[in-house]
Amino acid sequence: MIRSIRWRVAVTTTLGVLLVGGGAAAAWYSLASDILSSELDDELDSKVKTLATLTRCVGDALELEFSDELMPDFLPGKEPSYFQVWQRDGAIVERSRSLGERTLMFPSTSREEVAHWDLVLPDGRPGRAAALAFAVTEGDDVDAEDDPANSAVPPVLPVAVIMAAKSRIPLDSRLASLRLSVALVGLGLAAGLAFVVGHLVGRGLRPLHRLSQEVGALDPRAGPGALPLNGLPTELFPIAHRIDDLLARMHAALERERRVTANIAHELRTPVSELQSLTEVAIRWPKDEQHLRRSLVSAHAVARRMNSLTEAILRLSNPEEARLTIESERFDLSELTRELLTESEGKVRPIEADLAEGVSITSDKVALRIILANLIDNAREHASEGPIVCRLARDDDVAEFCISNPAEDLDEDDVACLGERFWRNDATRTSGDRPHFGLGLTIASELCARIGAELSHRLVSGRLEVRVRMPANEST
Amino acid sequence: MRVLVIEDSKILRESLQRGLSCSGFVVDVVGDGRQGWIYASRNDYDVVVLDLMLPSMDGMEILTKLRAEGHDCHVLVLTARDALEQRVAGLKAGADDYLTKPFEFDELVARIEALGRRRYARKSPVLVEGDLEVDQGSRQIRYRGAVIEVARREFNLLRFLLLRRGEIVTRIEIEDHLYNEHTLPDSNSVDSAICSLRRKLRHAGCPDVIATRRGVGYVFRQGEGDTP
Repeated sequence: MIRSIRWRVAVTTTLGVLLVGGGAAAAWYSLASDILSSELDDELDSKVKTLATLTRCVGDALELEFSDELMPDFLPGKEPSYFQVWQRDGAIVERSRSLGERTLMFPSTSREEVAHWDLVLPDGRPGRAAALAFAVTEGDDVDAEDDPANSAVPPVLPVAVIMAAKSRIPLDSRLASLRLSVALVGLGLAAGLAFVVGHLVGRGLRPLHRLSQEVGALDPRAGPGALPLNGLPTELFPIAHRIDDLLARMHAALERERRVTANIAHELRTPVSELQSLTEVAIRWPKDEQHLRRSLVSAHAVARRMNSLTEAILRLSNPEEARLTIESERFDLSELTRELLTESEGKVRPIEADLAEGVSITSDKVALRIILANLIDNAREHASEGPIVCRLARDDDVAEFCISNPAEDLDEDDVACLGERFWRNDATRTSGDRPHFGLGLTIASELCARIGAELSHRLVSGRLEVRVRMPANEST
Repeated sequence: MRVLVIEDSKILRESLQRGLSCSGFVVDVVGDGRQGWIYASRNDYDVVVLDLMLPSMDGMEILTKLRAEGHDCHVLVLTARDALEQRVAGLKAGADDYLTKPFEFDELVARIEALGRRRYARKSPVLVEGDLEVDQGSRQIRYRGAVIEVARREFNLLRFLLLRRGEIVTRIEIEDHLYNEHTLPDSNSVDSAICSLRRKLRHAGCPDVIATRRGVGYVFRQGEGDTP
């Protein structure tokens, strides 16, 4: 099956045009053939009618007042024509001299019109014949006494049948020439058409071919704008634009992956490096027992941090977790939120709460506890100077939890990266006592996806707002 | 050799300070980028050990600024990021060497020493002046093959003067080379160290190779290492 657009368009267009052209040529040939054939028939008609007018009724007999000079083509010759006259009962009245001893077959014809048909002439040539049955007029020797005008009863006119035939070889030859010329012209047209159509289709598809080459030459690492969009035909612009858009998304995804991988490497290698240096220095240059003890304490802290990191990574990557059944139950989200805020009250930063009462939802309480606890802890740990505000509201059938905190050290680019695994901004990058791996928001986000809640975050006037929206039960 | 370590991990910072000091280097350590930039741009370090992921100002920015302002201290990038693009980017930005974490301490020390030698256009770790040898690898001073026991600071002093042999080195330059930012030397610390070094060299039979230029500093006399 031909898959090339160019070939398919060229072939179908050529075939279509040839079909139409072929039909037109056939119709034209048919018309020309009819015209040529009717010319022969008209000639035969003329001969038959002329012969009919020359036929007289003399007494009881029919006579043909024929003269060779009148119609010389009925004389014997190389390619003569033939005629014959019969009475109605089939008795031959007259034959053309070209017939000689031969006769023509008595035709069956009505009196109304001249009949035409093809036949084989007595000399074997293909021919065309015309025949007419007619009432013979009386001759000049009719007495006045016998004049039907003087008779009270009009006389019955005898009926004669006259047939003329001639060769149709010239006609056939002309028709054959016509057919040949139509065929030759048709072939030439087909060939020319195929070439022209192919060429025009090729030209028309050139922008597509160019686009195909440009896409093929694209560097796999190319970002948006690598595909030139200017000057493209209207039909191709949406395709090229979509490809460019896909490239941009792929580029962004690759960049994100690179960042995540680099961040993961940093998070994993840093504690290993710390442990290695710490222990090597302690082994090679032990100062005193106190120094050794301090080194061991630091090594222990690093090991605990690595354990937390390992657990966090495993939690994210454990395929078993993806198959855990979500245990949905009906519970009061307002109560849960209040509980979490109370639990974390002893910590350094206070949180202003604005919680709607009686917000009931049906969801996995354990998962939601992890999510909200994560978000509350994050806000406390990373907020800049200023109030941290937690809101719980219900809007029709949607419950919305929102926590916002000042975030002077974040910009829009940082906010875009917040959900990436292991992403941390400057201030949280330093290890310190409390490890920050940049996984909290990632874990919260993945849990939200599992329980059918929607987590979003944005920066508004220097404050980071994190929202969790989920379906709420009907108010009771 | 004076080394600046810019590293945000407290544990690593402290380990490097102890380990490099014990290896004979004069070490300053800082924990964030902005402070690191201030130290690196205002002091003359032989080598800067630079982490890339730093708070307040990242390592690449520090490196780029140092080179843009014409500071030619050698920089060894010490980072957990080992991707080819990052290594290439670091070297192209002006780093002289790149070492990924986790690392072997001996390798770090060897690389710092190699960069230090490069600073004075010296390929060999052994500085030779006649019969006097200063072996930077084993941190020994030898005269006619016999080891002369000296304190760490005295070794660094002789090494520094020998690296800049023929040039007058001021007291300030010597102080900057021998003491870190947190150590305030006495006004005669340098003179005292020179005096002690001269005594030990003389005791070993070595001629007086260190000349005083009053009011200016000291110079290692070229061609003076041979026994007269």
